[in-house]
Amino acid sequence: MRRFWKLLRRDRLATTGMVIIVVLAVVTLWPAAWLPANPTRANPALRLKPPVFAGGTWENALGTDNLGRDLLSRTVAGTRVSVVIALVAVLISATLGIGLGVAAGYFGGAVDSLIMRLVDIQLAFPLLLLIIAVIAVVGSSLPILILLLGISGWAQFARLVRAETLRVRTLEFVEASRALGTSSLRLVVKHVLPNISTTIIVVGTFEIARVFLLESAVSFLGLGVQPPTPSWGTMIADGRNYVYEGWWIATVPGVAIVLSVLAFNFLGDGLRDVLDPTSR
Amino acid sequence: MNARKILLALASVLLASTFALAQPRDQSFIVAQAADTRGLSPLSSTNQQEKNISNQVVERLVQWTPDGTGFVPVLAETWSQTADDTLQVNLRQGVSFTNGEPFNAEAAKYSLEQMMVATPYASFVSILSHVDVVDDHTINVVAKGPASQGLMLNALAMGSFQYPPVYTQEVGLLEGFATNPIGTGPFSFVEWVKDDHITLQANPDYWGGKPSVEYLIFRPISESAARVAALEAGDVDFIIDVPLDSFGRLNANPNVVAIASPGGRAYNLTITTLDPNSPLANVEVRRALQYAVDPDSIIEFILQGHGSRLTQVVAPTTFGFNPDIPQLSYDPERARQMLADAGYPDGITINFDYAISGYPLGKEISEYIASQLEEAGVTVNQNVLEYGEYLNRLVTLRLVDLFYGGSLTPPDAQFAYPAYQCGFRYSYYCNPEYDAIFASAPLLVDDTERAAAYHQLAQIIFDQAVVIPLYTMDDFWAHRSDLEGWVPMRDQFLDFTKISLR
Repeated sequence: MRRFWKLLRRDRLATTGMVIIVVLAVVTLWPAAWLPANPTRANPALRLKPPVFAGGTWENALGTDNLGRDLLSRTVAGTRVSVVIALVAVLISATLGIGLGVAAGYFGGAVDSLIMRLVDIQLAFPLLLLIIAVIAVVGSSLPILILLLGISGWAQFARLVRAETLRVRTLEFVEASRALGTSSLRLVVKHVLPNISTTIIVVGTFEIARVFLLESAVSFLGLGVQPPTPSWGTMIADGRNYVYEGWWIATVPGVAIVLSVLAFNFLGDGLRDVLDPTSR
Repeated sequence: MNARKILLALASVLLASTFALAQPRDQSFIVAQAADTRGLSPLSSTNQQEKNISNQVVERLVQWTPDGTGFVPVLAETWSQTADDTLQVNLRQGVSFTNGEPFNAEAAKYSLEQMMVATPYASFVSILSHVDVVDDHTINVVAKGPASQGLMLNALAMGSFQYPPVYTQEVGLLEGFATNPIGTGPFSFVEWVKDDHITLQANPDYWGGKPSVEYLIFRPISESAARVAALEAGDVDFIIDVPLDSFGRLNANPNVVAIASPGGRAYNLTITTLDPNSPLANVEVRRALQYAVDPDSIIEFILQGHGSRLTQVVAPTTFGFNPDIPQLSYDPERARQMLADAGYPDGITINFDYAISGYPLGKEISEYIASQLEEAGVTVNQNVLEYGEYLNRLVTLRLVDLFYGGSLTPPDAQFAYPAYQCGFRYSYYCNPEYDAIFASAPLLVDDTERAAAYHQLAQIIFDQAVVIPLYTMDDFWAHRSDLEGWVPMRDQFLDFTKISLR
């Protein structure tokens, strides 16, 4: 474990990623009462104030939007929304993907064929279209959005988990354990899952980054998080009509998206390098 | 020719076909609006942006003066009231439709009969009964009972579009005509490429003189920022619904001019009252909501002064305006107290529906209103709807609790008040007493009596707190600075017959 941290720390990009993720975690857990302003309270008397580094004041350190809402508070509140959505969605896709991936890899045969065809179908389906279609029919709400984003990622997990399971299943100690009469469930839980956990962690990290982007895109289109709840995607959508008069409205949440997506990608790269001895 | 040259040639052909319109740019005047039209038949919709296109081709008998208070003849020349229920209209002579059919009394009778059965126009023409042909260039427009001249002229200015009868009957007014309109107007229809452009060409035989621009092209550009950018880049010549925040930048640019003109569209929040189980069935709760919204700060900060506060659903310039309706002052504490007194000490939770586009700054304003309501202890579930879906729900009575909207009606209260009758297609209120007064009003020939009836209606709407009146908003336009001869109209109609480019 110590060796692992040492190696990871040597990777500058991964370290940067981790620092940003720690900041994200702090921001996510930041109590709403400690925000400089109420993120949903409009005060048009203060509209379109620039951030402090562009001539604004510390009152609104990152400026205000087209309704005079404090952008710092909104970005922080939006972080909570985006992070919670991303984590829960990836949890859903990981659960689905791992379950189906292990089943396919472990049992093989018809089960494998069926699950892999489902994966092919899911991967071939234009994701955004699926989300738009479902939301158009049932309407947008946070649970539905999370569920859709969760379903969107299971195929990635399933594919990699299946490949890893195939590899682990043929290892000698697994064979031995099976010969001793261990049940399938126990085999999977005791031997297969621990041996593929590194893959899951790496895929999970990349998936979080992907869901961040996807949620922002869906919210930008007005199909995701609904006002007044701030989300990075809706904030950019609000700001797009003010790119000349208030460039910071879209820029601030845009930078937040870029940083957090980069952070998870950096961390994912770093983890893969450290956990996979062949790429070292 | 080597492969690279072929590729280049191909690419340029592709590019040209994508971006260039068939007409030379220097002979074209390009107008960008927020949305493409659904049809080119004027009677299929009362939406002004849609009518702005068809009305270049198809003309009315009369239209309003730019300030909306009087009438100017178009295909009518003169008119007079010859009996209590009869308006005699003399038609312009020597005019033909661009397909050669003559414009005469028979054509006018046919066209007005189309107007009287068009659903979107029902509330505007409900007072009219039938049309009689007097001679080849004179018709009598007959009302169902005694009716004032102003009411009848407003109905004609609203919907008296003139169609060539033979062609229209052949193709169908709402079918073939909607994709290939023919009229007497300054422009004739050339082509419509859905969601891309509609091209019109100057009518060389126009009775008012051939317009100076050869091609008039309408392009839909849905994002307001993109419309502004297109105007600045010279891709288009005229844009509507200009975002207020870009006025400063546009007017600093010597090539373009941005204009705000007094608008007639009356904006309000409608409180839906039809559900007896909703807290909003209680008039005290509705009154509390009125105190919880602050139109003045919307006008000051979001409209930047380009709006006038309303006390009722019609503006002070409208016939039938009731000067005795008080203006409520913003008082969220009082609203909270009223909610508590009405049995909701913890406030109420309501839906709030609004369209993401369709009304200038509509989304910003609605979000601000929601924020104000929250201050008064009202929990607001905001439903942001696409404009088409919003209109669809509006007319099927599926908007719930509270919704934001604006309506642009002729400057006579008769046309604003149908919206509160029981069973009207987008009425969220029902009161038989109101209906009885509304039904009697148009039959009052004496204008003082008729105005008094509208005053009563305004009083009922106020007493029952069925709307939160907000403001009329200026109209925002921008065009290239060398445009001359264009005048903004209160009804938002775009008249390009007299324009020239220096």
